[in-house]
Amino acid sequence: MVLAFVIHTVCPIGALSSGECRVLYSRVFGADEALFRGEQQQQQQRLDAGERRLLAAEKIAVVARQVQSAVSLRREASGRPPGETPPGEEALALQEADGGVLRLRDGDPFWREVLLKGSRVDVLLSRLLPHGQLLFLNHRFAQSLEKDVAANVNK
Amino acid sequence: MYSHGSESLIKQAREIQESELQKFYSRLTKLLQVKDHGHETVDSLERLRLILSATKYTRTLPPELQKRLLSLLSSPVEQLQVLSSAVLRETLPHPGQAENYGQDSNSQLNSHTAALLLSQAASRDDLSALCTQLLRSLECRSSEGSIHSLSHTLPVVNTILTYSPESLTEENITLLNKKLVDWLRYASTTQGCGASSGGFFTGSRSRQPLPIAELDGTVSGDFFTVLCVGQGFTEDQWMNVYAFSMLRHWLLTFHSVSGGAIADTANRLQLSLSLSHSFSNDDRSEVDGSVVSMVSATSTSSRLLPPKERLREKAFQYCQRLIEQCDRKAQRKIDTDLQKACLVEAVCILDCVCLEDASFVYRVFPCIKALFGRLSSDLSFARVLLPVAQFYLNHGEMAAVDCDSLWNLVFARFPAELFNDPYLAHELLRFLRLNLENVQLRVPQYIRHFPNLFKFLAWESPAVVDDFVDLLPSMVTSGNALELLHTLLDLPCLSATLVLQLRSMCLPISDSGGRGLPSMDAFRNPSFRALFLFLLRSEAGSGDTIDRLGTLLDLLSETANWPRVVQCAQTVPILLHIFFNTVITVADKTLLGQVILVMLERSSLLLNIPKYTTEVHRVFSRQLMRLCKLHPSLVIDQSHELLEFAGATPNVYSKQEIYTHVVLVLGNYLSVSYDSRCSVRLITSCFETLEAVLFEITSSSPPPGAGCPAPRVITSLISALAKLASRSHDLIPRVSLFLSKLRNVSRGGSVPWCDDEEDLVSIVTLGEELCALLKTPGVAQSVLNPPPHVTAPQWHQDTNVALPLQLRALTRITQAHTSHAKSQHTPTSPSPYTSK
Repeated sequence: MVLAFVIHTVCPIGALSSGECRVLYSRVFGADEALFRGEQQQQQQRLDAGERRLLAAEKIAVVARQVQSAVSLRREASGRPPGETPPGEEALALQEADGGVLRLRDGDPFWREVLLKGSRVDVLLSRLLPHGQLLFLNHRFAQSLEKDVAANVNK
Repeated sequence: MYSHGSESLIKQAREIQESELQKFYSRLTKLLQVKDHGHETVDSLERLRLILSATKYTRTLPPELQKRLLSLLSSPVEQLQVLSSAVLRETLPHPGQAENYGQDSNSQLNSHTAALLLSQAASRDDLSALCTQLLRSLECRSSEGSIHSLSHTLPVVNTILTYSPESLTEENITLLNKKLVDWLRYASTTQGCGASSGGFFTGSRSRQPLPIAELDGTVSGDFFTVLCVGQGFTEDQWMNVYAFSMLRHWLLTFHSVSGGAIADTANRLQLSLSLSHSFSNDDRSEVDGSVVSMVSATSTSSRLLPPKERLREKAFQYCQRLIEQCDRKAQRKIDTDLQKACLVEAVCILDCVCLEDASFVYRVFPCIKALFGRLSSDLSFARVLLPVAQFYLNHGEMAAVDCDSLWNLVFARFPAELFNDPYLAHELLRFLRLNLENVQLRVPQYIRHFPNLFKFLAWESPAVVDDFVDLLPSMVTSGNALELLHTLLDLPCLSATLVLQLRSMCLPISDSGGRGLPSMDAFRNPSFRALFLFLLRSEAGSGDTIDRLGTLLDLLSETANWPRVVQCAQTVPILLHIFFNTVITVADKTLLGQVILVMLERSSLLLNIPKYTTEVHRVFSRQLMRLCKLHPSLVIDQSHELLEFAGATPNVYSKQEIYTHVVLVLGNYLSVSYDSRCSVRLITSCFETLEAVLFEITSSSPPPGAGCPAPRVITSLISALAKLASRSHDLIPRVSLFLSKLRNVSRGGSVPWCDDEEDLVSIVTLGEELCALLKTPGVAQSVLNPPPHVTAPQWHQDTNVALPLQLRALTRITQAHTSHAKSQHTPTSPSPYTSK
């Protein structure tokens, strides 16, 4: 299963200081890992709910930074300069976005929408990646789900 | 563009003042008290969500607002369910809250409430209760609910499986085993009504439901699977998708059930008996009258099996059918991709089934073997062949199948042609990591093809270096150690060559557009072909390295600043350390001697990337010391080459780190106490070599372009000379003479070979102290040749620095004695040895 879905910046952004990475959306699926994973149970149970949430947020931030540096190394190696997408060219940037593996997935961000309309991402995820479960969807099933998402988001 | 506006949104959310926040809370509470919720409510909820997630510190909502949000969880508007769930997940629950929703245990939990319950579950019992509630609603659901009211059930169960499989009761497990069988094997084979709008197709002439179809458009002849299509889908067809999506995890989780191994074996025997029995009494009652595929025809009647075993049987049938279906040509790319994913999943599930019950191997293997035959010539299916490889590794021996063609494909072809596919690289390396012991034992192709595997590293170093850190120790054998060492040192060259290879395939042959890179021209030049082919070789064993390595390095010199090459070079030092750590465990002394020779030889044969040479030299220096400390007689064995290296004055300037350490090992270990073969002649010869170099570098300016020799080089030469002299006392006068000349020369002030006054002082001081020590050869011999346990200095790792400190201490002791003696006999000039 998928443990988390995160949308974050991957290239140097003018509004951010150098090396900084902004997490725009994050969704951790399932139960609290700290509570249910084996040996560390004893220790972790001493953390309260707030502390566990903090721990989860920190982990997401670390992961996002790792992904960001992996992406910039990859781009450097292939000779493409890392940089912000000029306004109006987001669609093109998304199409050309690389996929990759670093035991995580690279992604591309889509800014303001994500910040103010997080519920859309939630609905999308609840259909295509419910509770972190990857689904085997042929084109018909996928279309049906997309219609369902569209119907529920635009109310 | 990510504007400052977006960033300031986040800042605002994070820095909102408490008073403003409380006002916001009450405004929102009022909004929620109203029956209808419009855009303002939604926008406010989004804003609340942003405020809560913008900070790492968890807030508590006012109780009234919390209550309102809880009731929103069951709103008919999904967006409100989503938002309230998201908000509540970001806050601390009030005590006792867990009981508040889902109170009515007969009501159906929607997906978003379930998500909240999951995130707040604090114990196994919580998860158990959630699971039971979900499954209960599954059983007694009304048929009016749309599929999407149940679609989250299996994903939630899957989550619980991940975090706490013990939360599922026996009852739950049995129920799910039965239900999974129904959904997987007995879903409708006719199309559902049109999509979510419900109702029949308008304009459809007949009300007769159409049969489902395959991805290539033909009518399906067998049971429904994820690779079947229709205009709309029935509820059980949806559940078929969800069921298959979690099937592997389900089987894996309950694979090793602690239930008494003996009972299990007995059961299995019984089962295989009953299976073979029922095979002959093939009960066709499950098969309907229409066209039947191979799978159904050969399926055994499994009604006699308990639920778990029945599921296993159905899983086998499902996967077999999927594999058949993947032979069809899908009409859309998304479906072609899905077919590949299904192949991977099906093979994994079959592997799982066979691990649980080995009697399946004989039924499954023909299918897997046929699949391999179909896919082995198509590189676009490479990733699918990895689970096939896993299957072969797990069960190949049992089925007595020849796996060579598979392993040759995986190790000889894949890395050579797909090194730049990041997904394949990741999965292949992961496969090796997870199966390392088995692969080392049973797959000789693994080590034989190490040059090929390194192509993954040479291409995308940062992404896979961790994998190679794990794998490298297993690759090192006494048979390939030297070739492997050369290969590691040549990784940046391999990196450059792969870039050239790819570019060469894209550019037309006669690209004389003036942008011709010299390295590209060299790559395409037939007279240099063999050099590049050596780097690109897929198998080890054809030679440790090439004669014309220097030529190759020149041809590639312009690539030294290519980012990919630079990134690759950065991984080499750590891999070298790992190599050396391993090689000392597998190599005998002879081989280690050869390793030293490779280090000396390669110290000047490296791609000229800034810092790369320095780093590699640093590793070599450390490892040289380590090897010689471990086997001091290596110094005698390799004395010829070590002296040759030490006698070459240019090495002082271009390889000062290695040079220093070569001199150190000569000084420390060229002694009869370490090896009886150490003759006086050898010591003298070494002495003369080092003396000549020291003389040369301290009698003139450095050659043009080179800076002054590093002071450490000079002090190490001086120390080595003293040590050698202490072992062969005839040499002592020569050292003393030299050192006093050195002192005289430096009295004049500056010298051309040292530009730092303090360094010069240290050098001269050392010289003086050694001179003094050598006046009493007996003492000198013990001080300069301490038994091994003493040479591990207490306060310094660097023996070169420790020695002067030892000497200084001794000198003060001897001076005190001397001046006391002198004061009693001669009242004259101060001793030249008194400290300043």
